Amino acid sequence: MADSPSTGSRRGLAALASLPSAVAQIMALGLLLIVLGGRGDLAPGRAPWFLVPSALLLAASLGTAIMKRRPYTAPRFGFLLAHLAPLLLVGGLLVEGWSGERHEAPLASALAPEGQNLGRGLRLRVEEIQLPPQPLTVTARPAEGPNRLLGQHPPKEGTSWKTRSLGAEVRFGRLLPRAVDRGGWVEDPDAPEDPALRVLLGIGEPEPRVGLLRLRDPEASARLAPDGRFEVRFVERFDAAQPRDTPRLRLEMAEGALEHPADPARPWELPGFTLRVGARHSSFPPHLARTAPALRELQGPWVEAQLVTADGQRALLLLSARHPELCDRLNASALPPGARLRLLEPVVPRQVVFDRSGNRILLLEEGRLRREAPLVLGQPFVVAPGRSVTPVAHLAHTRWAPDFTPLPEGLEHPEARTALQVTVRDAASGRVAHGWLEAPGPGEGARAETFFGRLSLALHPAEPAPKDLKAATILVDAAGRILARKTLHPGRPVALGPYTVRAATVPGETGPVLGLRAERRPGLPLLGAGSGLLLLGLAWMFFLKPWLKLRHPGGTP
Amino acid sequence: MILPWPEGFGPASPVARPLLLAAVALGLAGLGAGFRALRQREPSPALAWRLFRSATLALAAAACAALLDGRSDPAEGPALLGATLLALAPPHLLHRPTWKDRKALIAALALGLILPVLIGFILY
Repeated sequence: MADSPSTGSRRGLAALASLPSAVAQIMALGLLLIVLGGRGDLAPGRAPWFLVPSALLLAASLGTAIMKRRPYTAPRFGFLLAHLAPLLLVGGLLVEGWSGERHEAPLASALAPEGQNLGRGLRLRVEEIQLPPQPLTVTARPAEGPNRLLGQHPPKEGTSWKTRSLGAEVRFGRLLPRAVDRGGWVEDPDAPEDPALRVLLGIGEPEPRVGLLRLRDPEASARLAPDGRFEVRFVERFDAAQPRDTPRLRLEMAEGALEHPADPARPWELPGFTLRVGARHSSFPPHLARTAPALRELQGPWVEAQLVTADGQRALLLLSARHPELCDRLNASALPPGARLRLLEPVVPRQVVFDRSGNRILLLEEGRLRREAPLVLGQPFVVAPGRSVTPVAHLAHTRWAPDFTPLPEGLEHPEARTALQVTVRDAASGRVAHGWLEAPGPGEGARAETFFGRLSLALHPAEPAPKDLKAATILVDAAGRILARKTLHPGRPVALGPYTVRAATVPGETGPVLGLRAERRPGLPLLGAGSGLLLLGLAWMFFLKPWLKLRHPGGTP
Repeated sequence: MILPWPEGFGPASPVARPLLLAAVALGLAGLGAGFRALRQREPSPALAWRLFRSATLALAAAACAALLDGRSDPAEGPALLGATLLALAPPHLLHRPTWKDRKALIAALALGLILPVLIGFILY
């Protein structure tokens, strides 16, 4: 006889409320939680479509369990707790999804004046950062393509490691904690195009000096005015522009460049700070170095300048027209990020200009053309009696080949830094390349060296751990008013307005970096209650229930 | 004491880490005890079940720690909670000492094998 509809319904309901059905539901929910949770799809606000039916399913399961397991004696109470707990946990996730917030940003974003946007007109700013010094580390990344981290290794002398994905072996050589680069420009066919002219400078010394004039760096020509009597320049095309007649300051920023007379009597008012030119020295200011380094490249006039910010903070700047790149490094920490300050000095009376397009050599005096000769390699060009310049070679691909030497004890040098010698072996071809990695100076970013066009290595301080950060955190509103200000202590979160703020490792442009996480978790009480009930219920079911059943052998199972 | 832990691996919560390790260790121990019980045809593999239940409890505690700890990645808590629900399934089948025990034990062994791999694979 066929089942009546009511009997079929009852059987269907019984099947739905059966133990295998409950187990299947739990397993399906568990699998979905793993798969979706593991993909990050259950991050707050992403998956109410999953969590709402799950909560309904758990509520139905709980209701069925309650109905089937009545009456609730002591041994069965754990069952009730354990089945109520997932409902609370999923409910907590749901509340977090609907009204919770989580904002993450690298520390640099929160350090910016505008801070980190938290939405609803609120911003999080950070000031007074304190971080302990970090040990140096070497990171390996692909030179091209996605900027992913291939490896990170402490710079220990004599160690080596392999980057399997790029097929290269890296060996660390000497590690020099205080070293100065005494390298030079070399021709390297594998280097990018960087035209240069090699010259011999006859200035009355027994041996002529060898110099390299790079087309891309005409300012560096001033370095080849060894006795201050003439400058040597290498330009694509000679431009008979008026020579500069007064020293000037040039501030270069991303938005453009500004110039101002380098006159102690004329302070330069700029948005947010003022620049004042101070004392002038005939060489690197000796009072700024404990022992003046007798290095040729620091010769020439140096000018002190002072940067005064709007709130009265002062910083000393050192400027030399002959050493613009060194000045950039020395002054980087005092200037706004990305800004460079250069000193443009008047030209020395005589200039020798090598004109590449015109293939000629010009002698200028006081900015006026005095003499001209064809540019012929090996043929000296006489500047004055006893002074000559001889072009000896055109180089198409020049590359700076660093060669670090330890700085003797007691000497100081503004460019002294830690350097690590590396040898990279290409597994496929067996080729070997040697090079140096140098740690960045104060205020500088990490400098990467590329090997075989595909492996990029950099020596830099390790990324600080979140537990090391101490900083002042500030919550501001849209009008810039400070709503709350609290100090973030190492390893501890801080309550800032409605947010809990903590240091965290967050995604950065070049990989995980130290950052801040601000979150608001309204589902936390539900999650806490659910967690407590789950653990209590499970412990009750697994361990207390057998003991209770032994005490009440006649009770229900 | 802070457990030494590889950077970027496993749960971010320092409470969840040792609990997850304990869960995996207890699960593997339960797995060994379960296989031994199957091979020797023990009527009641009590040791295996105690170990599995302890592993489940440790896993549940790890899930709760990950859900509550603000250092956790949003994916960690739900994934560990899902693993806990999966681990809870076999005990549901074990409330009567009948022939079902053996089937349930086989299911639990399978889960005991799968769970650590699943957690490791999905989380990281």
